[in-house]
Amino acid sequence: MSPARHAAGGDPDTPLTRAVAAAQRGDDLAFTQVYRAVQPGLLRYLMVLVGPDGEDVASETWAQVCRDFSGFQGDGDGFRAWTATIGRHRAMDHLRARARRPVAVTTLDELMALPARDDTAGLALESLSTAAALRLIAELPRDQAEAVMLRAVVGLDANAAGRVLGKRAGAVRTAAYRGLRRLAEQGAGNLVDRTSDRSRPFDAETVR
Amino acid sequence: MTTRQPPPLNRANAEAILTGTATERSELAQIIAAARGSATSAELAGEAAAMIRFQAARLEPAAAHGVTVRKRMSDKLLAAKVGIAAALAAAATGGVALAAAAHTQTEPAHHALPASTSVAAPSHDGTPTPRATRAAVPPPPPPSHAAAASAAPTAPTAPGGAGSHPSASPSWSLRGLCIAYLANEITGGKRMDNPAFGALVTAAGGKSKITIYCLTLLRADPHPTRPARSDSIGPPILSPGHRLSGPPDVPPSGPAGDQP
Repeated sequence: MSPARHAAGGDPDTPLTRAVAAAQRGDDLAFTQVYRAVQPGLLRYLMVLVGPDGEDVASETWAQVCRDFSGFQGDGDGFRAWTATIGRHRAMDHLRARARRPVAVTTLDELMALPARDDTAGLALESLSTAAALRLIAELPRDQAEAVMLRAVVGLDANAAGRVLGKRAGAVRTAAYRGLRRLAEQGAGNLVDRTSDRSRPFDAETVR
Repeated sequence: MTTRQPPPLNRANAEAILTGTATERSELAQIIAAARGSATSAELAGEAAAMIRFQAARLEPAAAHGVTVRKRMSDKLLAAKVGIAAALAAAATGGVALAAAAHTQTEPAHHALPASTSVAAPSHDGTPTPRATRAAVPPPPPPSHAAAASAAPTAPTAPGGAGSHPSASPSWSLRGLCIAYLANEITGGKRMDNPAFGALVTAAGGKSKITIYCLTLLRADPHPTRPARSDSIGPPILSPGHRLSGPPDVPPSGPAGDQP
């Protein structure tokens, strides 16, 4: 199951749209489907935003989603954007409270059984793990990281991502494009090169 | 490592990479594909907690709407509260759990009965501490409790048995155990070895089936006796006095509705 699903065309009759509607009618199993469709991408986005506390923020996000679920109006894509918006607000609250730079994604190691960075360097790129990829994205400037995550992982189109971020769609496209360029420049080669780099502030050893 | 030279990035293939429709196998495309990789079970570990919140909001939406999340401690407080409710539920048939719960109650007497009927609040203004979570986990079942739990005559024996949910009174103990079990999952599921859950394992037909069994049980019989005013976990989890700072809450309308 991929956390992202792209339907920028706006087909209103998607499985997620149907599940959201059924959950709003009180169908528990439909809610489970909604959760499983949305949570992975949402959690990854929040982990990139707030690091190790992403799971807590995701939990807070779902608490609010459940609370306001009956009043939601929209389709499946709209629901993804709605949850991402709530999650982002909770994440910003969290960051303000913590007054800490939102970069570290160390606990992704545990969350996804990521091999240590030294081990990752020895792997073929084809087996690059989700957590390693998220770590690379998290090291982008935040506006670029958010644009890439919302577009590529949460599964929003540029318009919806712009609404989540309070930006124009064009600004989101530009940020995502710049983020991809930087990723392409750094890429997995950079991941390999930095296995011996102990000076980075959020290197795993530093955070732990 | 890939040996292929990545094509130069332009707006067109950037969009294809972002939407997962790129046909190329560049490093960049693989990084993005990895970021979009399949969900792990760890990522979905909060499903039971989310389901509890979903059901609680549905059972008493008005209460749920009037409050907001308390930061970071929300799940632990939820666990504490449902744990107390579980202990009271067990006490309804077993008796011993009441003693454990009574020490943690901030307002015990008039809430005892309503609390025992569901995922209920021991107090609307009292706040159980995390200590209460430990105290409220059902103790090893007394014989009468175990017997009542395992002898629930019509308890569903398989997931999906919603049509044959147990009658109200005998289900109390199983409901309590289910609530405690789901609360346990919220806090990491570290106490599954508690023998109190033995009856639940038996009723569900195995450890791996407990979650779906409990969700089925709670869904099938949300009001085992009667709807109680305190039949909700909303208020205790969420407190108006703890509204978070920052931008106003997102109105419950999908961004899709904002689209032209």
